[in-house]
Amino acid sequence: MRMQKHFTEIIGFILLGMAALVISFNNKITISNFILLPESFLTFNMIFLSILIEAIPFVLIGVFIAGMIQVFMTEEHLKKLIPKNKLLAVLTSCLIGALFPACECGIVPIVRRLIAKGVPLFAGIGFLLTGPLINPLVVISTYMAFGEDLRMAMLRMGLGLVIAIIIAAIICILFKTNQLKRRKGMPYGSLPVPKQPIGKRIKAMLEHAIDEFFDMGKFLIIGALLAAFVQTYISTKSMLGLGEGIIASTLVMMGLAFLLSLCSEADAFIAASFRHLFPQTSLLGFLIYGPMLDLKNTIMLMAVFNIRFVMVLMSIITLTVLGILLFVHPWI
Amino acid sequence: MVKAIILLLFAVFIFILHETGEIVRFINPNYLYFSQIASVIFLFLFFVQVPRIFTSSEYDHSECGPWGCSHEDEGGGITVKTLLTYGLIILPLLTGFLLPYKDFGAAEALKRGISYSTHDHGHVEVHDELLVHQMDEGVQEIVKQPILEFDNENFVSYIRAVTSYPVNFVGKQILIEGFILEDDSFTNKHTVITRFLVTHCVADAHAAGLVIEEGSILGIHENTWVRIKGELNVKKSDSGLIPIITVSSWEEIHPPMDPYVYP
Repeated sequence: MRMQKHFTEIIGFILLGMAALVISFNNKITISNFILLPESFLTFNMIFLSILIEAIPFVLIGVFIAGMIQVFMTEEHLKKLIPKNKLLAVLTSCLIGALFPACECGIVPIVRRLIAKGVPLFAGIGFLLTGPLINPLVVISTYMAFGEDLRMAMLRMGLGLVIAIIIAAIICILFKTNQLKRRKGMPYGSLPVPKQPIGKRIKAMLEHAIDEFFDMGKFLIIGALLAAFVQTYISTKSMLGLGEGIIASTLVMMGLAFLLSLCSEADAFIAASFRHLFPQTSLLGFLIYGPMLDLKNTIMLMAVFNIRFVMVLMSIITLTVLGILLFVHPWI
Repeated sequence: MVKAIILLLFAVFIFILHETGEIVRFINPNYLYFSQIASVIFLFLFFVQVPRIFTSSEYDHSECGPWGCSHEDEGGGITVKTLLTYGLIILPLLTGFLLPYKDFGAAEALKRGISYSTHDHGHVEVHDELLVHQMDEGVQEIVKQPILEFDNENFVSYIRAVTSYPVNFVGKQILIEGFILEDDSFTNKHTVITRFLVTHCVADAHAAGLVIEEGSILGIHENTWVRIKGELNVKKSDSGLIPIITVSSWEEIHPPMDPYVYP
């Protein structure tokens, strides 16, 4: 045991020393001098890295909260929090999500943990949909992006909330079980968990967070790769050519939101730049659909839920968003 | 072991980006502290991970809930799956350390589409007096400026004002920096002086700029950075009035250290 502790310290120090070396010798060991890379590949790399750098803090916060839920929340706590009545449960989960400032990649590990702990699937989905879409930061950025016009921000929040509630309700009717992927060698049914000292529990929480980060990290990276690829090699203009008429243009904007995988705090500015090309309904499609579903969080969802469920969920979200928007279009 | 190294490398990578100031080529400086926190968290997690190098095999699962935990079976030797996982996670570190960084230029702007008119279509025929009422105080303040000098701080508000109410700015002196691009997506080719606006990270960068009158005559190469002095004017295009610059003088400048504008 003593030996082990010494080993740990030695290795820790060696690694730290190496880190210090890397930092001090960071004068351009880039390979550009040897290989000529196409410009577009470098652009691709820039977008890829920037999506990651932007998303990683939020994913870290997400895995920390997930670790906390894993270790500190008991099933009894959750049972008390979520109302028995299904309708009320849908509403509560959407409203909690609305108050919870998260981004679409950070929220996936949290939702997975919650559902694994026994939160009903539909409540988890409600939370997943409203978390990134409705929160103070998004309201402010949407307000700013559309020339300090409150109308668009309000429409985004209001319609988004209604749509999320509808989707959660549909999920509630369609699926009775939690649709989590099963892992091998996993025990079912609750085990009696003995109370452990707080220090040990915190340690367990951190270790869960690390493993969760590696678990989610790879899917985040695949998603970021795809999104960066789309952004580099497909021009938005070629997509814009696809849509004339309200249905087509709304679909185009939703598709764009899906492919670009922007963070919900920033996407309003992009939407605003399409203002002179598309009607408001289509822009709302972009603003509401994007935070709910995009390339990088679809990959993460597929890692967590059954593929079949993700497919069904995606079609429900797509159809509901489109349907509601077309329904309210005459009044916008 | 591998996990510990990866966590440390992430911390180091973000630290280096901050240390050298390269980070502003990726994200808006307003959000810097988020990634600083991330870097510290990575370092912290590294310290948590190091002792586990030896103890992972005897980890007790008493804190893991019914639907399992995310602890992987590390005892199972190196499988293709774990290799793939680590390979993917190391990928951004590899490209981040090894590949040179590049700022966006004209090619990216064209791909993303560039906005140089935010007008509402209906307002073209409306008289100036009417427009004055609609402008908020911020824009009226800008109209009163004797000369519009664009810099990184005011770029967004100035360009928004000019493109929204082009008529009110006719005849105004202007001094603007940016890179040149040729936009031939319209019936007639436009030469545009452009900047990228980065709201959050460069993945959401979008271009904004002003059209230069008779830009092709000046003979400026695409992607060169220039400082342009001139007078604002309007021009009728397919979709209404757009603001244009009548150039009185221009000079080539070095690409600035901070090529992006952060609204």
